[in-house]
Amino acid sequence: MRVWKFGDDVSTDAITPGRYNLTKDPRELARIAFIEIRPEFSKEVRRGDVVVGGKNFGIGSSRESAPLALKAAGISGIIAKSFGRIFYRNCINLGIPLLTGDTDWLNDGDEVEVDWQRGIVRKGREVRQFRPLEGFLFEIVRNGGIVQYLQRRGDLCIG
Amino acid sequence: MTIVEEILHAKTGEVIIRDVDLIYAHDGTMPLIIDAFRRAFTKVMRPERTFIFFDHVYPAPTVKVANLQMEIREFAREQGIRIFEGYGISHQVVPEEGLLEDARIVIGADSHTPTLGAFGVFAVGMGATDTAVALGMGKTWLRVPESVRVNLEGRLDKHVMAMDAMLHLIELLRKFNMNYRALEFFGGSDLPIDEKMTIANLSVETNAKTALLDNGDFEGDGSYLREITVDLSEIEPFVALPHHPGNVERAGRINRKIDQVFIGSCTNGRLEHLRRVAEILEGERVRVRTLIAPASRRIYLRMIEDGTAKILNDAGAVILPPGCGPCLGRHMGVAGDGEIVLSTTNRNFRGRMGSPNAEIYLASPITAAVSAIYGEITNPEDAL
Repeated sequence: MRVWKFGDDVSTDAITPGRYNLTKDPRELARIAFIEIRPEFSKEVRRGDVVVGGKNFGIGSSRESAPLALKAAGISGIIAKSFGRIFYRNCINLGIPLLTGDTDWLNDGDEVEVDWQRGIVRKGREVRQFRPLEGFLFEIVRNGGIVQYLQRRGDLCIG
Repeated sequence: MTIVEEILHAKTGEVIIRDVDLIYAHDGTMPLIIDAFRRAFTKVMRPERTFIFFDHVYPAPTVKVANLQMEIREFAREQGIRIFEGYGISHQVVPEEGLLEDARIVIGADSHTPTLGAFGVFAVGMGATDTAVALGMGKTWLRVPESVRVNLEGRLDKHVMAMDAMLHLIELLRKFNMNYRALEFFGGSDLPIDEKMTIANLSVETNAKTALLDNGDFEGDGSYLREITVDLSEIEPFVALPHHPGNVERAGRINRKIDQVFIGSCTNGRLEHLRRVAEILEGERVRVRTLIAPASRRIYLRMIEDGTAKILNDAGAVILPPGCGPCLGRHMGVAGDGEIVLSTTNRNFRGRMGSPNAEIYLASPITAAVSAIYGEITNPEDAL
C-alpha cells in the first residue's frame, strides 16, 4: 500500500473544496478529492493506499463528503498525529479505520503494511505501533460503518 | 463539576449515550443525511424537534443544487419536518425563532453548531451519518470532553469587538491541543448576546468540540485542564492572515490592498455587528467591492426599520439575502485567482471562498468596514 503524505491542518475545504462539492455521488466525489492541493491524487490512488497526515487532519467543516470522497477513492485508512473531531467521527461512521501517532516517520510514496485493528505499521523491516480505535469505535468500523453496525446490533451499545 | 459535566451528568472522559433534545441540518449537509438515514431507518423519531434550514447555497444557483433542494423538501414533507427557507443561517434562526425551548443537548449537522453554547446548551456539530442516527434513534454517543476555562475580564475598547478577542484566543490556543475538548467562558456578562454568539462560534476554530458561556446558571467549580484569563480591555484590532484563523497579527501591522470585503455570517452577521458597521460607513463611500449579508431575515427587517440598510446601501455596499453568503465559496461573491478578501467569517483556509489562489484575511466588522473605505487593511484605531 502506498502512502499519500500530507502536512498539518489539512482542512475538509482541502479534501473536498466547496466550489466542487455540489454532489453526493461517491464516484464524483472521489474525482475531486484533494483536487486543488494534490490534483494527481484521484488519478493515481490505488485501492488499499493509505492517507497519512500531520496534526489536525480533516479540521473544519462537518461535510461528510470529505471522508466519503476518500473512501470512494479506495483508501484503506488514514494515519495522522491528530484528527479534526467531526472528520474523525465521520470516518468511523463510514467504516474508515484510523490510527493516531507520530507520522514523521512516514513519507510520501512509502510502501507500508497496516494492521488497523492492532495499530501496527510495517515499512520495510521497521515496525511501529500507533494508537488504534478503541473497542466500541473499532467495532463500528469492523462492521463497515455505523449504519451496518446498527443493522446488525439494533442499538448503540457501549462496552 | 465543569459546565459540560453538569449538563451531561457524566464525568470527563466517559463515553455515554444521551437523548438529543434538538436536531438540525441545512441544505449543504442534508442530502447525505437523507442517504444515510434511508439505509438504516424509515421514520424520524421526533420530527417536531427536528429542523432544516436552507442557508448555505440559497436560492439555488445551479440545476444540480436546485434538484438536491427538491429532494430535501420531499424528505421533509414525508417526515413532517419543518424547513426554514429564506429565514437565514441556522445557528441564528434557532434561537431567534424560539426553537431551543428547554433543550440541553443539541446536534447540528454543521461545524458551527456550538454557536448555541452562548445560551448555555451543549451543542455539537456532527456529520451526515451521525445526524442520521440521531434522527432515527433520537440519541447519540458522546465522549464527555475535558474543559478549558476562560475568564473574561474588563471591557472591550470602542473599536474592538468579540472577533478580536477570539482571534487572540485562537492564536493563544494554537499550540495547545483543544481537539476533543470544550471551552467554558465565565465573565463578560455585559457583552450583548450577538457578541456572545460570536465568542461561542469562533471557539470552533480553536478545534474545540464545543463552547459554553456561563449565564450565571453554572457552578464551574470542576477540574479544568487549564485556566486562562483574557483581559478584554487589552485586546486590540487583530487580523488573521491566510490560510489559518490562528495566523494572527495586529491590524496596524498589515499593509495589504484588498479586492473584496465580506461582512456577515454566523460569526459576525447580527444586528449589533451591522449597526457598528453602519456607524462607520455613514456618509462614507466604500472603495472596494463590499458585500454584506444579514444572518437572518429578522435582522434584515430590523436593519430596514432602523435605517442601517439605507446607510450601507448609500455607502455603496451590496446587501445580500440572509444566509451564509460567500463564506463557503459557492455563490454570491466567489473570490477570483489572486484576489485578496477581507472577511468577518470564521475560516480562511485555502480555497474556502473560491479560488485556491485567493488570499483570505479575517477581521472584525469594524475593521472590515474601515478597511472597505480605505481599500486596504486598516487598523480602526488609527483611522477613527
